[in-house]
Amino acid sequence: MSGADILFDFLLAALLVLLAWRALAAPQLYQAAIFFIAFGLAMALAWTRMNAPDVALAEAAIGAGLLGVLLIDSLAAFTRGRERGEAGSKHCADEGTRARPMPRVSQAVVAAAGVVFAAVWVTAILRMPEGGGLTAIAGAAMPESGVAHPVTAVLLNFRGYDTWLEVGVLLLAMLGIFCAVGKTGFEREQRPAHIDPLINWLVRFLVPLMVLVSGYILWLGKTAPGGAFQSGVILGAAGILLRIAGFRTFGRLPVWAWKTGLVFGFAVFLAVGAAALPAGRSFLEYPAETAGAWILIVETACALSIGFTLLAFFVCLNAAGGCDGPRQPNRTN
Amino acid sequence: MSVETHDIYMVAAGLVFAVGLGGVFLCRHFFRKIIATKMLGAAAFLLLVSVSRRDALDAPDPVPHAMVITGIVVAVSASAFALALARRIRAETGQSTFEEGDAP
Amino acid sequence: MSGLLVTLPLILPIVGALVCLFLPARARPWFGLAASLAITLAVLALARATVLSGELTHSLGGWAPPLGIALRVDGLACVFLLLTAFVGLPVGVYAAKYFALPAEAKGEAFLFWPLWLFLWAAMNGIYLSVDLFNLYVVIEVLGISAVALAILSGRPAALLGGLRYLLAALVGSMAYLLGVALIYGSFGTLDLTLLGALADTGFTTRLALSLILTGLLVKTALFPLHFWLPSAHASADPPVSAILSSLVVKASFYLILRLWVDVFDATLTYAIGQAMGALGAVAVVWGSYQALRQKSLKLMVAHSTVGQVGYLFLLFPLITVAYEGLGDSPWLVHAWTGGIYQALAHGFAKAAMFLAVGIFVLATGTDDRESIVNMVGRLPMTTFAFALAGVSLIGLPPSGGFVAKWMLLKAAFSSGQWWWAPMVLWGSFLTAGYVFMILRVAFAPSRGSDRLRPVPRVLEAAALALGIGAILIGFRAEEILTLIDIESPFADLVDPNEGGISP
Repeated sequence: MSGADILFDFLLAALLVLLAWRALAAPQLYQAAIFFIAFGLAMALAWTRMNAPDVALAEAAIGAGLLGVLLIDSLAAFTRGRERGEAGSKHCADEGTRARPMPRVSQAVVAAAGVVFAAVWVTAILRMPEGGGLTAIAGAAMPESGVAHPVTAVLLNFRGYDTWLEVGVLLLAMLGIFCAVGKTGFEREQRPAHIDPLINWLVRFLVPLMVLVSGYILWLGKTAPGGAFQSGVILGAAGILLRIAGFRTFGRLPVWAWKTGLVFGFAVFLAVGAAALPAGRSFLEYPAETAGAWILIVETACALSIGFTLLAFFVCLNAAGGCDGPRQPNRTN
Repeated sequence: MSVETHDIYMVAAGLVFAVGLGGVFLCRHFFRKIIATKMLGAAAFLLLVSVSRRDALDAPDPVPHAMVITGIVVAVSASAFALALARRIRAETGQSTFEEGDAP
Repeated sequence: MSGLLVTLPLILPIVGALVCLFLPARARPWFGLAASLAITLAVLALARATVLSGELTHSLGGWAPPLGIALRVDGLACVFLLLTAFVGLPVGVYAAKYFALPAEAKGEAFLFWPLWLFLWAAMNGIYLSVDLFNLYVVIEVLGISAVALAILSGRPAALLGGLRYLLAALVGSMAYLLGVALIYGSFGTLDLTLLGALADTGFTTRLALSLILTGLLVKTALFPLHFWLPSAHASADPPVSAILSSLVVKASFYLILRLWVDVFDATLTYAIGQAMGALGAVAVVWGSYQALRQKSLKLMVAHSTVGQVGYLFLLFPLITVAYEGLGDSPWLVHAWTGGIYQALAHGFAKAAMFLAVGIFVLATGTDDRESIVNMVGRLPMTTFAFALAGVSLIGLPPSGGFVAKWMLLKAAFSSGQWWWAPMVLWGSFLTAGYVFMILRVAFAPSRGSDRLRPVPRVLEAAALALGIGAILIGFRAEEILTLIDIESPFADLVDPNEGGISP
């Protein structure tokens, strides 16, 4: 390790802590969102510093990218009612966006707790035994995994159960958002009156390209960083772009079609995994010779569903509305 | 003992966790509380990837990388759900903080 | 064959949830109930296989730990799988009728069945899994589906309670995950069985254990980390409240129990055990006292959960003495079975109580404690169900709660830790206070001629079935003890004359 490397890591680590701090302490909500996205990008940089390109891709695409879009989209909902605040409900004011000033004593207690935690943490890190990890064991199992990229092998084969459940979490979060937003979430999608012709042209050009890239990244996952999640996020981003440009994305689809879109990846994964049981193999165990092909099928299905679900997150969150949204009559206090 | 890249990020993980924990309890606005829970997750991921680099042979340990990718997707799903819930609460009641008590 | 047996309790609810999503709203309850029945049968078959052949394991994807994830079934897992099934089934019947009532079919009630089956799969997943990171993913499935269920009604109170619940659950799982990362860094494996042989008393392991425990304690709502529970549990629809209070908090408790005896037994000290017990004792008194003070029926039952969860934690100081070289003593078995019995008894009793209170609220239209005058004359079956549940919560004989509290008292005295005994009794005394306060109103003659809204008989029957269950498990101690002893860490100590292993 050269000194310059260490210095860079030190600065990046300090920047991470600083950005985390600013994201929570910045006076305005939009600043918080911007700092949060910056934090996500700094994390992605840290992942590449630690030779984790798969994680960096996922963090940049989902952690900073998609969540960033959702946060920025939500900003309006939390701040829009400010002008109304004086006339209408007191809650609609910018109340709570700023942290309440703390008494001195509490500040001291919080600072002391932080110092104690940091001391305990550093001690724990210094005394952490070398676990050794599973690098060697995973390496030895690679020839039987059906793919050449170790991270894909862990995700789709060695620990496929986690990944299956994770796709389930996406579906479940969508159901949760559906409960939170109400059943009109999809129906309320409306085409804006005016679409900028330039944006329209740009989207027409970009979206097919994004679909291509997403397919390529999916294929790449077999041998190099990439795979279902990164590919799915690009698909989802293409959908979000279409929607921002004013194209209808869900409005046209019948109910069964979008349900299928949400469930598809999870169900295919389950079907492939459960088909192993009657054949005498373990749950989620692929046939030895054709593991690579099965993994590709599962990954493709998951990528489609992930893209679809992320787009649905955006559309539904959009429908959750804000202070001057269409739900006003229900206001209770 | 020389300081290595992974040592630095392991320590940073703890600090980010502390900041996030403070944020969850001290910030009042839903939006910030949600960001704070995301910070807590980021801390755990940072530690996992640091460990994978420390234990690297030729290449880093792929198992923590896979766990972190899984974790990022799970955490973002949960954050999106929380965000939807917070927006609905804002739309229904106009409030964006918990009224009685400031615990999360 | 064993692969199918072990994985069906997971696969069936998931398949059920997915199919339910595509069914028309009217067909969902019927299909959901059929799926519930199928899951219950699968769990029974698994329990039978476990009794016959001992511990069962299954390596998912064909990859054995440490690279892969394993599922493992022992007696403890079976007991919790069965509790979930036998409480889940009547609650499902209740929910099928409740959400079909015209007045209650508001909000997103049509999503109840997919979400509940997902939640069921998550609970079964926790009972089966022995991989620390996989447990994190399953805990998130559990948390998200539980919160989604809690906000089904769409009422502002439920939304606020739900968000508070979600944030608390997220903080809990992130603390857990940070601990898991420390463990992986220290030992290079996530498998509980392998970790059991590795875990030491090092500083890093201690910190990891503290983080994991704190995270799970938030989810189990042990005092003082219970702040999220009353608002979330009281604002949900009654069948959901029953599920959350009687089953969901048990899942994280199970995990604490599993980690305590299987993994960290070498890391734990007398002091940590005493601290857990102390929090439990304070929770017993505080929760029961708060329940006594509530004017709202549902808040009363929710606070009662905070108190009853406290009893579960009296188990820890009593079993931790074993690791301090005090030897293999028979009280360990009493403490161990007493704690597990408390989880079972509270599971049935709390579900019955929430369902009964739900019926009162449905009939009177208010949640006020004083509104249920003369319920014994007007809704005798529901009042009886409430009373049975109350008997078990107080710990009066003969009931499951009595067996639990009796065993904990016995273990407290024979281990010399007598100071837990007054806490158990004080908690029972306070519990008796709020149960009899409700019954006093229910037995009071009605003053006016206020009419009740009609209540479907099915709802009353479901509540009564659970109330009877809370009493009945006090009589079936032998079978349950047999099951608990399979691969139990304390099985060797069981006195065969005292209802131990008798196939």
